[in-house]
Amino acid sequence: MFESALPAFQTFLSWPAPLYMVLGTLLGLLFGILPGLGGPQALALLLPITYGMDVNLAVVLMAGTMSSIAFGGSIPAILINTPGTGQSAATCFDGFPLTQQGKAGMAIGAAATASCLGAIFGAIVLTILLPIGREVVLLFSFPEYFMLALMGLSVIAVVSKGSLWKGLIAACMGLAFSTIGYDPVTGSVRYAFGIDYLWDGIRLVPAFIGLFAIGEALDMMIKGGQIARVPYTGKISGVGEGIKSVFQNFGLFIRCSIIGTVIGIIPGVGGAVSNFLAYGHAVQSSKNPEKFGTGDIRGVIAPEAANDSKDGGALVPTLIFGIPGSIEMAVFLGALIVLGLEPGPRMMMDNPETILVLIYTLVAGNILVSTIGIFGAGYICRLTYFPNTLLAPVIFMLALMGSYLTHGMIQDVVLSLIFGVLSLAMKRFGFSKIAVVIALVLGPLAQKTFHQTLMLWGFKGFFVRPISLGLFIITVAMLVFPYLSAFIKKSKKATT
Amino acid sequence: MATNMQHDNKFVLNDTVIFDIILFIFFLVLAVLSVDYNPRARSIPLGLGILGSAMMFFQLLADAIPALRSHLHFVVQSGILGAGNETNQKNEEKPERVTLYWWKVTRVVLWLAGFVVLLTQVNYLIAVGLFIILITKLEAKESWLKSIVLALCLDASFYILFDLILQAHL
Repeated sequence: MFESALPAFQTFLSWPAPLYMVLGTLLGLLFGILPGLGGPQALALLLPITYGMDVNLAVVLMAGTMSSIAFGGSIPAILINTPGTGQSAATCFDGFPLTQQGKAGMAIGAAATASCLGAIFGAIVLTILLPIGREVVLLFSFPEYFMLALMGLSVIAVVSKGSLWKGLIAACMGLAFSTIGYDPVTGSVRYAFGIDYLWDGIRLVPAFIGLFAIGEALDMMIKGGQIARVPYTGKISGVGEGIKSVFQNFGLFIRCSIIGTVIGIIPGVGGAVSNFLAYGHAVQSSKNPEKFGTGDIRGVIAPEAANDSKDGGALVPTLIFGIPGSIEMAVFLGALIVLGLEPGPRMMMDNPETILVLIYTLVAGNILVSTIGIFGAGYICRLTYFPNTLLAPVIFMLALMGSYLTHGMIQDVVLSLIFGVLSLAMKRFGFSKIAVVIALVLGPLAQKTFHQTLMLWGFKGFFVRPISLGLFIITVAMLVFPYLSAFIKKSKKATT
Repeated sequence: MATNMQHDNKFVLNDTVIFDIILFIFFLVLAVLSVDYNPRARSIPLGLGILGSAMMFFQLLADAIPALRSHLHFVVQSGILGAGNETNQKNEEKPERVTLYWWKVTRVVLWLAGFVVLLTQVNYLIAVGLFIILITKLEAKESWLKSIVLALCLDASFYILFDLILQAHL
């Protein structure tokens, strides 16, 4: 893979790639800043635009977007106590008190530096781990791919917030959607109900646009109001002091970057968890924990380092195994498939240049967004005072027109709308959206490899190969663990 | 307490239960329709249909008859991140609020459906402009000025993006 390092760098620098990176970074910053919107929504809206685009340019645009969302979410968290994304929630604890003390610049400076260096840390880990993919590819065949898909779905259900049962139901729902249309093995058309459009199955682009953009905009439109809850003074100073504070607490920064990267590698856990874990670690490892929550700069550095390093970590399972490390990665994975790439072990062999372009963009995008954040945070934050009832119609139009743009088919728009309503209902009733998305992405692979295994080795094929059996055991163990843990807790309670 | 227990034993019909019923029927239909396909093509959807409807059946029971929740721990069990804990039930909303919520959803969805119809009849720039003006004025109760300015800005952005840059010619 490393022999592609220089050509990939050339691709990354050749026009118009830098422009796409800047545009992606600005879009990600915007979506990061606006609470309720985030990576999945931004990427879903980009899907139709990247469709048919040069693969490397599309990756640059999307990676640029991904790179800026986490830090974008931290700006309103620090300035107006409103996290732009769930993954910036812990930054509020000390970021906003610092703003109240007139040290907003220091908090922004520290957040920007910790985010940027954290992202570079994550990217380095990703670069080191990626070559493993090459070795993995030789060990994998149909049963392993099937078990991997099964494990991916189970992991998401198990680590999703809320009820595990509902997570599994959502995964079944997503898999059910993926059975619509041509069966990849027999060629039979299933559940098309005489509608030609459904012969190709559920298209990923309109489905993702519906699940993320339309669903969220519907929620915003119904709730009304505006995003920001507190008045904003707009005064920012002391940025240099904030930047310096990261280097003064470099040990904490490294530990929290490791936390973020490891959490990122575990599929489905996501940024919100790494953010809180890192903050918790900063408090626990401090000699004066009572200072946290009152405007301690370490309370900004810790979550921010974890927040951005997790992106590199989340790309590890996404690129090596084709199992998304987070909800953003699920949409990104879908986008790669739409672009004709095959994420998973083969991608290391077939598209090393694209992967390296992605890594370069992540690093460069983070540097860019940190710079923009430092100089423009005060102005950018005013966006959060925009009424939801004006913002939501704009998102509706971007989403529906984006859906229409992909193939110029009105059915795509209708499908987006249906998935938008489904998304709203799933949010209200606590069903995991990420499980549906991942099932939609992994469904065709699971079906194809299931039949291929049966044809080649029969049912025993899933259990006689060591890796396949190992993956199966891990999947079962993961599904059983929460129930077993609850049972043990209950038994302990009963005996005491 | 006794009143609560009595209340819990009752069959509850709220929006959660209705959504459960819809999903239950969805999985059931998935299983039933798959029977017509050839054995290899139906194996996965049939399995999913049976599994999904069985899971939804228990979910439905737990949501519709709250007293059964104590017997159906697995339905409310959280995943690894909350291992050993049961997920909290959402606080009961007043029926009027639920009705209002879904009425709002219906209205917005109808606006969007109207936009889709409009999109098939007129140029997309007209459809987008009209939709923005109407929804922001009539649904969001914003001023005419804001509605028109927003519509014009969005139309201009779409024209630049779709027609000039992407040359999509929708």
